[in-house]
Amino acid sequence: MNEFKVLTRDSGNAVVMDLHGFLDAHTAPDLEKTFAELIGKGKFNIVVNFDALNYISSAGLGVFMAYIDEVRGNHGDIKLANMQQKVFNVFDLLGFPFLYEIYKDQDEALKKFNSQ
Amino acid sequence: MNQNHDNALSGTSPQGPPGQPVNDQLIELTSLIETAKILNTSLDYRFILNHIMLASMGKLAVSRTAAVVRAEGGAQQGEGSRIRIGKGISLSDDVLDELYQIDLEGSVDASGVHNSLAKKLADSGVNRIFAIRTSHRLFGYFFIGRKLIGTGLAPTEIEFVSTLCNIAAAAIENASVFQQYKDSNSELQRRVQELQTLFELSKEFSLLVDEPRALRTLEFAIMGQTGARKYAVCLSNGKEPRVVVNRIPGIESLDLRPLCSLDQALRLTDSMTEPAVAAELARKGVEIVIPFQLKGRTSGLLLLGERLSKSPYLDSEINFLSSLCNLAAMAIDNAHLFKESLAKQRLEEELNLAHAIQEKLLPREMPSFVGSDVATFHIPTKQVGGDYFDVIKLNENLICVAIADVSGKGFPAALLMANLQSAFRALMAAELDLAGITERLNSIIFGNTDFDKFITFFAAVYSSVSKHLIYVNAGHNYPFLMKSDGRIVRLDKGGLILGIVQRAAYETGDEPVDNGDVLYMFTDGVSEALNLSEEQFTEERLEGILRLNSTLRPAAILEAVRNEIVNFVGDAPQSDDITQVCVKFL
Repeated sequence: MNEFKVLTRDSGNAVVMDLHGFLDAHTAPDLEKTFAELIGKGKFNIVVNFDALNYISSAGLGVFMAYIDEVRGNHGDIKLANMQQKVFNVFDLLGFPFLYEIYKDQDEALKKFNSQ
Repeated sequence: MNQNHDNALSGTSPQGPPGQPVNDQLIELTSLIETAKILNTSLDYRFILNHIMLASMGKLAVSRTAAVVRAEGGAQQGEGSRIRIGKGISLSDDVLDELYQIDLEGSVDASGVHNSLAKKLADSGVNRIFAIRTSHRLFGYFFIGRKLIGTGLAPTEIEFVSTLCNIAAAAIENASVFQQYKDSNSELQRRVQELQTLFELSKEFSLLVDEPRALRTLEFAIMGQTGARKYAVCLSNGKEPRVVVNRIPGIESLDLRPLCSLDQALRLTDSMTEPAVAAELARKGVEIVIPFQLKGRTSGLLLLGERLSKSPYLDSEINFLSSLCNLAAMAIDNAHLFKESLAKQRLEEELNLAHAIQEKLLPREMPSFVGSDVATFHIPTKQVGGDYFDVIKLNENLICVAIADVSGKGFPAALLMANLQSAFRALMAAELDLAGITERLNSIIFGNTDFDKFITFFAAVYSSVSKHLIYVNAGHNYPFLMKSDGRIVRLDKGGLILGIVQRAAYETGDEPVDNGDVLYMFTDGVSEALNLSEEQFTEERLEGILRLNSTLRPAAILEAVRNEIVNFVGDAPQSDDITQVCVKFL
């Protein structure tokens, strides 16, 4: 079974989520739990660092959809950064670049939050 | 690049009369070739249109132009929509519709079309119209206004613009084919992604054993694959529909039953009359209802509303979602079956445990008594039952035997039986007055039960010194005292069944006992044992067997009765607990 891991760290007024491994229907609940915890703590400025994520499936994408309304409703955002090309392709195929800000580098995303 | 090229074009020439110098013609030709090169490498409709606009404005000194083409496919270009740009000319959709119907070839003067249209064109500042087309296909039109000096276009100028439009048409056709290729490629990739999702979910669903998890997984797949943000899931499966996931405000109060017989996906419109709830759902934002099909029945519904991209759901997407829903239906069904079998297993384990506890409550090994020999026999029907019997050695010369039958069966009866036993044992340890003990028992049982629960009870104390049997019978089947001289005494003294009234008085019976006398106690499971014709074993039959066997040892007597019951009952199932206690006085 392919492993998935998610770690969080504070950075300025935002939280960075570092994703590792494989995000699919099986591991989606782990990410869901992390989102729920952050939102529970009132943290709505979220940068997701995809640097070490090797695979994402549609169900994995669904987790980002599940929380975007609530996060934006609280004046926050989920910004995505450092995607490997094959991961980006899945986001692109399903039209997500229209819905999410996707950055080459997590610092750009953090700068966006910090300039608010 | 675009900009440089415009400069190059606009710098080329003043317009020339027919028969212009060869040099001018050469420059014109060069600019056309250059334009062709640039346009043919572009796949962007706007860039192409913009280029012919700027080229002709510069070359012909006109300030007003416009262009329109029908875009082919492609999410980015806007499917089936018109792309138009203009400088100083703007045309309404009506005018464009009319023009597309005319299906022009080449170019015409704006006054050359029919009257009403000619007027609209003139009002918009159009002087001449050029078709942007290949030999077999009209893409759009290029419009040009009057020249800055106020005249129309000269024939060579018309030819120049026509050539520009032909080059543009070729470039647009090229871009359109490329776009179609790109579209079908991304459609293919989307299908591959859908298949991967189905594959992944079928694997994941097979591991899941709870409904909430299965629903959440389904949600993720729907959101991730389609970008849906408004949706709801309703499970019915033959029962009242229940909305288990709801991201569409306002649907919770609607009656979804009419949709629960859907066997294929349904696109809703707010003018729908059938089923009744469809129009109401459409007004709340539901676009499509997709049934969950399980073993040929509809076990749930996916109500699908707007997605982030706002684009309508394609038929192929609906097919995908149907497959996904059917997979989910199977997973949810499995989760229910698993839960049921788990609950059943747990109940069985508890029953077995209760059975073990109850078995320990009943006496297993008989203590040795002076002056008597005791045997007991007990078969419960279910794992736990309501029959009670007890044999207590009070001291070397005093023995107490008891038998009781709690109304009902199963756990409640077993609990009450345990309650009776602990009360009886505690009271027996404290005092020896059987009538008083039975009164107390009656009050305790009355206090502990509802009116429909009661106990028939018999207890006797035998003293091997006085050779007397003192007993009390609270509504129990009369035990037999088989005298050694052949007489039979039925022990019937006592009072009311336990637990019916709060206070009851009991009398005791007193029987002298001789050596060889036998006390036989039983529950109605013996006398009322049924055969296949639903006939009872009866106390008469029991008495006959006891008469024949009363000289045997107690264990042998019980065995004899048992054998007769087995013969009588045959293959009929045991209907009640069977309990017997037998004491032979020596």
